[in-house]
Amino acid sequence: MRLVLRLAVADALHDRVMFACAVLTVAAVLLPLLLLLGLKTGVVERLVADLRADPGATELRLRGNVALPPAWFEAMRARPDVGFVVPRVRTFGAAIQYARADDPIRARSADFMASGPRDPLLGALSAAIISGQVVVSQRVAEEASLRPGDELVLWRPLPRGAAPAPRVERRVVVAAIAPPGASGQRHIFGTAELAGLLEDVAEREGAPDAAGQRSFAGFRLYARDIADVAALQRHVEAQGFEVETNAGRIAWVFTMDRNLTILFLMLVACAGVGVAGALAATLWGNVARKRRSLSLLRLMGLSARRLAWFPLIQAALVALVGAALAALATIGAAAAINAGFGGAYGIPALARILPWHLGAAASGVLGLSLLAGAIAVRPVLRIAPAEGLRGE
Amino acid sequence: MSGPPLLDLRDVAVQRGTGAEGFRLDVPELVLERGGRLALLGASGSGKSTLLELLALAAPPQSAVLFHFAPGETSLDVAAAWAQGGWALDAWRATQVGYVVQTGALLPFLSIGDNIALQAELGGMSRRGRVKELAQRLGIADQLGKLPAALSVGQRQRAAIARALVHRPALLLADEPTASVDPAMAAEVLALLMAETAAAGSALVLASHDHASVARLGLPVLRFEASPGRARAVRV
Repeated sequence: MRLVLRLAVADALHDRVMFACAVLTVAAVLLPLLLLLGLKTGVVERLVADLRADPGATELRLRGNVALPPAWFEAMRARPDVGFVVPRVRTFGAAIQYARADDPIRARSADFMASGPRDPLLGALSAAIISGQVVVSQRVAEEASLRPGDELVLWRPLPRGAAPAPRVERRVVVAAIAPPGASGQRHIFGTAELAGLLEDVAEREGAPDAAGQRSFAGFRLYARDIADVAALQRHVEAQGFEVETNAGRIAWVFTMDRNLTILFLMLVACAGVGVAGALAATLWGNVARKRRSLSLLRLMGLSARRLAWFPLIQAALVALVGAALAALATIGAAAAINAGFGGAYGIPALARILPWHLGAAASGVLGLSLLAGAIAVRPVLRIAPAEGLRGE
Repeated sequence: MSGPPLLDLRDVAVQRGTGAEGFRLDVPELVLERGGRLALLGASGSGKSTLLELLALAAPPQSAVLFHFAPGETSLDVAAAWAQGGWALDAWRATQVGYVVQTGALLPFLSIGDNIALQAELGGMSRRGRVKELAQRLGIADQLGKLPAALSVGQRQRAAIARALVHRPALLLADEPTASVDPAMAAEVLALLMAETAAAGSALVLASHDHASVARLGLPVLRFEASPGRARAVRV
């Protein structure tokens, strides 16, 4: 095997023009395929990353107010496709007022946002949402010059025209300032219990709960992943709720990814047939041209079985050198594309070449090449040692 | 020489092709002692090459009463080995047979040195010293790094002789080794063949159509008597 390897390599080096043609054939077919795969990967990854980076992408927004018992939230939390769910007060009941504890006279308005651990809007900060603590949006923090650790007083404004009553306040600590992406509005994030306490005050004044059981006017609901949005939407809508989601936008990205993959695989299949045919012709022709040398090797005592490795080794050599060349060219071309076009689309890596792309290309072309080389094995096995004795 | 002869053939027939294109060679008897010499003399197309293929263990006989090859302690039944597919003969060719043909027949992609060393390696011999020594004696020591295409015909023929003898085969076959060189060179090539086979202890079978030069060497002769589609090799 090592002897035949040496012979096959020596022949390839000696016959370097033929060898270079075969290598270039492989590289020329691989290069555009790898670039195409890199571009598809870069673009789709970017679209998916944009969706994942947008916390609103997984949200299911309820339209209108409903009445939901605590058990409903328990059931939703148990679902594997639910990423986050908390009760929410009535839409217009979210309006609250707040003041710095050290400056209680200056009241400001904000909307209360029920939150809790794993709130996608707050990310890691959501762990700070515990009893007695809130996270404030950037705008609230700027307007009231708040820093983490400051104390706030929260209360619900009385409905217009209601009889004057002592306001019920809650003192809370600002645990953190929300990231800018969480909210561009005046928002104060706190536990659902805190929302309930503030709401209870107002509700007790207006419409007492008829059944005597606590219920919630709505929810903040997020699917675990963008891929779960559509199914979760169907589940919620089956219960009679109307929700708005990004399911359409998400489905578009996934469908495009799948269609591009199918298209790409069709191209790969065409290229595979082409390159296998070209290599089979080259390797078979090579064996035919070198019949004299190969028969001489048989005459010198090299067994037919060992000689059969000759075209296979050359096939592997062509595939691996071709794949290496294509990989280098692809990496270079991808860098050029990213430098030239990436900036124009605001995408740092328009073409994304992953290591497994190169590995798959190399093993794919190696497999095809060996298959093509196998066509040349039969004629090699048939070469008789006596042919080496005859003159040309 | 003691022991069985190197080659012992009785009533061996070779058939190449069929019908009008066919050719049949009969060898009633061929005995060659170890280290012995034999010239195959006949016109071109009389079957000399066919017999050489047979003796090189490179092609099968059609029938044989006896076909033994005994380079060492053990004797090989060549006809039986062919009946089993001939696979066992690869190793015998690699170790016990060398040959020189008209045009040198070197591998074009290996240097002269590698061509010679390859036969030594296939024959299971360490090569370093032997390749150099042979190359020096044959006057091609400074050609070892070159490819065959860079050498003259005469130099290639010397390289072929080195390649054929590097593994000290029991049998050296030479098929018209002087056909492509000028008369002066031909005499030199033949002299080298005689001297080197003697030095290596190899038997020599030389196929030629040149009565005069064979007569000058004084070799025993197996003459090929050809008629259309048929030939017979008989001792003179």
